[in-house]
Amino acid sequence: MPRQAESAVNFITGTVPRLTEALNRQKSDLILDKLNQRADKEKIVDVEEKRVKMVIFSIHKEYFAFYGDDVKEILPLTTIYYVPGSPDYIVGVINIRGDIESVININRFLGIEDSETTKHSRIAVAQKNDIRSGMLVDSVVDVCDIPVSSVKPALSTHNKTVREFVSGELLYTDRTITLLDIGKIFARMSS
Amino acid sequence: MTVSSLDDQNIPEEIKLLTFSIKGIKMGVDTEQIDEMITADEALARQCNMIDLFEQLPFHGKSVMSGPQKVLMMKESSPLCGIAIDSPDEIISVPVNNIRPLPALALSSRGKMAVWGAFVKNEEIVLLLDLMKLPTATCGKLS
Repeated sequence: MPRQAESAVNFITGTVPRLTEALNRQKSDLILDKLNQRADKEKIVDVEEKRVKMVIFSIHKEYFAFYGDDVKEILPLTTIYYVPGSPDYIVGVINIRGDIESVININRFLGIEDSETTKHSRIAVAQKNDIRSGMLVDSVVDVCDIPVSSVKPALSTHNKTVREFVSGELLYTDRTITLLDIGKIFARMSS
Repeated sequence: MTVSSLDDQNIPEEIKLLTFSIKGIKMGVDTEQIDEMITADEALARQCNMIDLFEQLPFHGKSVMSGPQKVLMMKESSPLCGIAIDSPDEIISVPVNNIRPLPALALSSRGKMAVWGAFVKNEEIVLLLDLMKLPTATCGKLS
């Protein structure tokens, strides 16, 4: 083989594997980079604080919240049919797509003065421990996720009736919001 | 044959109801529980015994009606009793499958659950009243 041709072959046989190796390395590096990035993201998620959904609502200009998991839907005010003989805090029943659900006057149950219904009034349909009912509230202010750590033990500034059903307090736009425990409310109503 | 299948056999596919209003609340009663419907004047003349429905099932916050227009006389009650209603609406057949139980929280602790269910008619809720679950012990003369 002439010397020129031999050196050309050497060049090709030496260069192609090196190029392939470089390309492979690049590909594996890319994959590794991606894997590392994903792991980093997962690390970030791991360290990120757990959050909890809250439904914040108002009663008499005071803000309260329910755990979002306990609230199944929020309905605009609809016709409520009074049920004779039902407890004082039951406003009546409503028709939700053919099903009949009760509506609770949460003010009356908590010993708070009755509110007037307005266009902002809402019925928050809550479910806990196989009990389901609507809760008539003055307005639904927000549905939001908050860090679990921002739920603090409640200070005992509420009246005795309210205190029994409070499971904590949280800060929302510089306002202290009382977190109500639907489970406790339903348990008391059905006892 | 099991007990449940016996029970199933006893449940009709539909129930015939007399619908009426009491203080603006739409209610329905199984026609098999009604002996007859008479006017309030007739009930007075006959000195019929009446169940004070408003005592058994308090109507909170509702305005007092001007006076009963009609009286439903209950079948097989002892003593014979009637309940006053504003006005009869109609007699309708309602498929049992369309009847919904009343939500547990709305059930009365009084009146032995006399309001036992509801159904939706033209988007309106009609409450079902079981006359046999109203205590007849408090039956009194219509005044």
